[in-house]
Amino acid sequence: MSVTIALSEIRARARTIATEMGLDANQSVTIDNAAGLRSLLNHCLNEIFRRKASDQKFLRDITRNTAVAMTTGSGAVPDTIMREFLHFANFADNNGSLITYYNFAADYNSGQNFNQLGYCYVEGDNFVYTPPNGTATSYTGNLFVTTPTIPAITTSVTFPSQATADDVILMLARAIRAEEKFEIIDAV
Amino acid sequence: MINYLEIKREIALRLAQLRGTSQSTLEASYTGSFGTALDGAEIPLSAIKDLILTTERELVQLVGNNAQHPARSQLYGRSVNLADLASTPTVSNSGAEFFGVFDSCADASNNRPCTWQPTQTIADIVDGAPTFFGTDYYYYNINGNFIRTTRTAVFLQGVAWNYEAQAALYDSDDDSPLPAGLAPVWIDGVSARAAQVSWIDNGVLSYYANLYEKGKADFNALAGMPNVPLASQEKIAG
Repeated sequence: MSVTIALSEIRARARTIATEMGLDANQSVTIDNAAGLRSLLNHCLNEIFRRKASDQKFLRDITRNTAVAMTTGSGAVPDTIMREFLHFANFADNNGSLITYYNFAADYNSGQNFNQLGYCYVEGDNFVYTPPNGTATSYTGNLFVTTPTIPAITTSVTFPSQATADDVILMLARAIRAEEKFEIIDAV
Repeated sequence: MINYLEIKREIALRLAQLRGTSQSTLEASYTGSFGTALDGAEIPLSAIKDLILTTERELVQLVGNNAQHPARSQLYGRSVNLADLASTPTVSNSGAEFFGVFDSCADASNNRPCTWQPTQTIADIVDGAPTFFGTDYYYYNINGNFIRTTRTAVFLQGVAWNYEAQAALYDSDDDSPLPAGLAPVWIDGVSARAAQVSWIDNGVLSYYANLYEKGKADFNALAGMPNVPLASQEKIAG
């Protein structure tokens, strides 16, 4: 179940962990680094979600269903969707069609296609969807994309689960102490 | 607090200014109205008042100079509300002069303490990307004559003392805000400054001056002791 946590609470929890792990908080060099914690939050979110998405055991922890409004077969890819993991995504339309996703349009356009399937790929910043027995412009309605998705940061963050929230906060605490490697970024 | 009358009559006694030639008349002068207690031979009433108040001001300055001095509790004053980039104040919100250094800053709307941060950090939040960072940061910095803060309005705290107000309290035999234990040091300081040519013994002046200097040193030695609550401009928990 998703949980929504205020930014101030995320900072407070991370700061408390960072400053009280194995030392007197009064002696901590990070005691007043709230702005640093805020700056690191985006990166910790990315890192945790990428790590979880890369491990089948955790994939479901960070998978969310997003309704993308499609007009004549095209709809914007939301910023929160992690495009690099779209090959893990489930797609559905309003009609319950079976839909397959291609990373490259060439695979769809030049291959053998089947009328009972829908086909989807990303072109620029848009999903392009061809429904079963349809054309690339015949579908208007929602395209439901269930895929690893990073939560938006406003004055709070809605995490897909409590465990994921806890993991991000712990990474934030370790990151402000320079004890955390950002493995995915480092690997890119 | 120290009652001014206590200081006045002790000064009069040490400078041999009390009116009277017998136990009963001396006692009456010592315990009675100060305005009629002096024999008037050497020192006018107003000069004693000036000496007492200027010495008090010096002791206030001593406390004000040290952001960690425990006696600041008795002398705290707060400034008017200040916006980011306002000039640092010279007087408190009640018009009392600030002495020495400010030791803390707090949000004007809720009194929450602000903590010391580099001006660059404050600029990042205030000028750079407040929509990214949000607004719940309680930071401040003093750069020369200007204050920087992430808050809408803050106030500074420091030692504040008002000469005119204390002069009025002196006249009414009311209290000084200095800590009671400092009375002997204060008396020594006034006595040491009572020099007039061909009147008072230099040895006595030197004696009081030495006592005064030692008293001030001891008083200032308290400065390392923790005070509650006391923020400082150094990086501390916050």
